[in-house]
Amino acid sequence: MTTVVLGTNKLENCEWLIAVGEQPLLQIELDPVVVSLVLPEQASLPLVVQRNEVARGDVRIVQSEHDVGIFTTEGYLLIFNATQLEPDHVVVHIDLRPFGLAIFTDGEGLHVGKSIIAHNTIQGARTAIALG
Amino acid sequence: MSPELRRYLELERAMLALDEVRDPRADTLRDAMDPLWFDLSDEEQGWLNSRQEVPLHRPRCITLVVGREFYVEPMTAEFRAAPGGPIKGWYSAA
Repeated sequence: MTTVVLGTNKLENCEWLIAVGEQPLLQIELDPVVVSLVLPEQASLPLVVQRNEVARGDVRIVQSEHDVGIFTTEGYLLIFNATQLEPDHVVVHIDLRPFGLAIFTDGEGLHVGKSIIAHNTIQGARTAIALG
Repeated sequence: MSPELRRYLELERAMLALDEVRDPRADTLRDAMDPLWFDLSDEEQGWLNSRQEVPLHRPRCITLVVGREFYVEPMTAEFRAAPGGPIKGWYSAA
């Protein structure tokens, strides 16, 4: 059982949280927190994080038992944080604007371009939020 | 998500997709799901039973068409979270 809170949206047991076109962008597993974050090639700067390991991109990953943070190496901008609050519950903040993608979370919801995805519950989807 | 629950949901999505177009092979998949049900934990079975009506057969639940506004100039160092050098000459830094 996995519940991810992503900018006021609750995503339950979804395999991929966000995808762009046919390419998965964000996946999270729990116990411990394991993150895969792969930006599309159209992004201004490359970023590929596979299971908490940086494969490509100027970022630094800081992780502990219940938390994973990804920072830019230039300026220490926080672009991603996942904190596991319960064994099956994780809260995620994301901000990919430093890499040229207009996608970020705040108290309103998940901002994508000029749209806001907020207060949804998605259960058992292969891809919870598909952008394309 | 456990591997058992992942397999169950995969089959369920396929079954519902076939069911929607009245394909009789949906029943075959439904029968295949039964033994998987008993591999699930009580908590997983409870979660499956408690679900609201959602379009589970759709592999993507929210689809948002994004245009050029999705790809922007990267946020630069002027937004940097930490100062580039030491803070000097301040009476109080915070």
